[in-house]
Amino acid sequence: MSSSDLVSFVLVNLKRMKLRASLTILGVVVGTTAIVAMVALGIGLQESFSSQFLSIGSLNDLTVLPGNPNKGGPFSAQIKEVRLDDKLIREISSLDGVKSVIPQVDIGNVSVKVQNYKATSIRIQGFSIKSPVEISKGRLPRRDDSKSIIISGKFGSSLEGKDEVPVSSFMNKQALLKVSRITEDGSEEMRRIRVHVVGIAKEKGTLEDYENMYMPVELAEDIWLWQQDAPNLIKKEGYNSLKVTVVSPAEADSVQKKLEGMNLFVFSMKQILDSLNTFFRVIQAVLGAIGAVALLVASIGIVNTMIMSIYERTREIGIMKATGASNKDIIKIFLSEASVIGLAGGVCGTFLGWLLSKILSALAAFYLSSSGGGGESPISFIVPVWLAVFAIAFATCIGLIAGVYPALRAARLNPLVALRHE
Amino acid sequence: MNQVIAVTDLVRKYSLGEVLVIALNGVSISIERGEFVSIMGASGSGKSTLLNLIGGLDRFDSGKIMVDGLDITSLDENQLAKYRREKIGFIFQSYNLIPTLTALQNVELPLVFSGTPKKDRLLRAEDILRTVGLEKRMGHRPTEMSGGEQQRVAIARALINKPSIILGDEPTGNLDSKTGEEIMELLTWLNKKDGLTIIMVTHDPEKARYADRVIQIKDGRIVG
Ligand SMILES: Nc1ncnc2c1ncn2[C@@H]1O[C@H](COP(=O)(O)OP(=O)(O)O)[C@@H](O)[C@H]1O
Ligand SMILES: [Mg+2]
Repeated sequence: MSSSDLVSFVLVNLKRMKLRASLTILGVVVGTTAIVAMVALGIGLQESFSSQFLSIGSLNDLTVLPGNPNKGGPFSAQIKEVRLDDKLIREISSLDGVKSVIPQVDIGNVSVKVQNYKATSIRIQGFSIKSPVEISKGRLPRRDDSKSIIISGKFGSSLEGKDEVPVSSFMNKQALLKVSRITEDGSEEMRRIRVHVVGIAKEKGTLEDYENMYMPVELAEDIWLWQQDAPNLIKKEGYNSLKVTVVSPAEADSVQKKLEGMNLFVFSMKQILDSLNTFFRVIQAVLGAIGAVALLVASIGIVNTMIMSIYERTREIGIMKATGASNKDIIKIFLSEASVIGLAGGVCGTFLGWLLSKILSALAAFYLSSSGGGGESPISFIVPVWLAVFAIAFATCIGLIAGVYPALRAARLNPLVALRHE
Repeated sequence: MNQVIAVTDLVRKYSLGEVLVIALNGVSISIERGEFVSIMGASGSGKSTLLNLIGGLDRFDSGKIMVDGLDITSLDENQLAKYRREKIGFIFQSYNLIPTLTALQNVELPLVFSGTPKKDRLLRAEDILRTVGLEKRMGHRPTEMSGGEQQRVAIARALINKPSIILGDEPTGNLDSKTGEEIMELLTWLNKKDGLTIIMVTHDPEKARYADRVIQIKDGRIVG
């Protein structure tokens, strides 16, 4: 039997039992809709979580601290902590996949004044001229010029109660940094440093875009050492941490492994995101399984419909066998019929699931905006192509599987007994 | 003339609970190619059972059936289906057409199972429907046709695979005598024109007269 013959057979027979077939298909539609909407919710949750998560930091960045926690325990004292010094920085820089290594000199208690703009607490990061920050405007500090700085792409945009200052208005302006430290006798000392804004960093889409300044690491170190009141601190103990930027997120895992092999503690957004993704996959599977239960119930309906229709068509099966249909032909006919019920339900259900996802997303967004939530809705339903394809294929398979027993029963009918039926 | 069917010592028993019914009790017959044979006997004498066994629709307890040199005793289910598809054309008392299909589609059916391309199928089915005088009924469903017309469709369906044997189980049993005679004339004509081998069960002596030879069966035995 050719497939086109099968198709026309199936269509004729489904048309004949229109009402019963529609009701059976409806069961599949409900199940498929449930699967699609549930998994779409799972995917939506994952997407909104990871996009919020990605705004914290870039997947390209690894933060390196001395000491490997995996080698802790009672013997940890015996392992010498690796010092984060220039030698180590050169070593890490030469690793495959590493784009830049910047000592993290994080300086607190710094306020800044540029033009009329004052910020009381900003973050300062040092960079080395060899692997500078990427800029979108202006230029990088020259080698001999240690008083030039780069400001982050959204610097000045979080002014409270004031109009926003466009970041470009700070270009080529003097900035006054005020750094304070507490001396041994408890009094506060203040140091003023005049710097020059020469460039604006490329936006990363993370928190770093806000009140952040990048300056040559020499200047940053100088400020930090003054603040700590210990001129030889870095030479003696190394840096507190390093920021290792890899070429692409794909390199993050292998670089992290290598760094951990060097007895370093590595914190990576990529790793956290990976485990978060695993968690969300489990959530999606659980949500999908809830929908699948509905589809399984529908499959019982398919079995029932097929058995009834085979009973009613017993005589026809006898006729087909007498005129030369093989058992295989009979099996094919009824398996196709059951699969088409699954397929039809799968297609309609996927469409409905997609529609429902759109509606629920819109409702969630509307509800949040009307209740003054503002910002992006954290609940969205996302139906990717793979989900649609999977749902349709799954429903079709369920139909196929539900058809197996009825089809075998039909094929096993004795032709004479079948012909005598009714 | 050459032999097309050789049945030897055929036995078919049915057990109905405690009771054992011997439907065929050692039947042997031989039929030549191109013969028109009718099988006569009282109701319950085993006529249908014999026909169904020759047609490969059922299993038997002992004996042997050779058709076209093929021993159908040894065939498995799949081979039996192929045998029915290629060698046998059935005509039943109650026509046994599929109600959802048109006359043309019913006639096509055996070729659907043999995997014949749609175009060849249509040509052949139309041709045969014309032969049996139904060129105006091709698109009609069984319920839209008279008994005689339905039986003609069934005959066309039986012919479409160019079978070796046509097996008819009281094909005129549901028809009035005039229509029954028309059907008998059609069968006789096909037998003469194409040299078709026909075995027809009937208990009507009027219809049996159309055959070249009459086989009498009684209580599962050949009696003449
Ligand atoms: N499926 C069956 N189960 C039990 N007994 C059967 C069955 N088919 C036929 N018989 C019995 O076998 C005998 C022959 O039946 P059958 O060949 O149909 O007779 P005929 O066609 O000559 O009227 C009858 O006694 C009938 O009751
Ligand atoms: Mg009978």
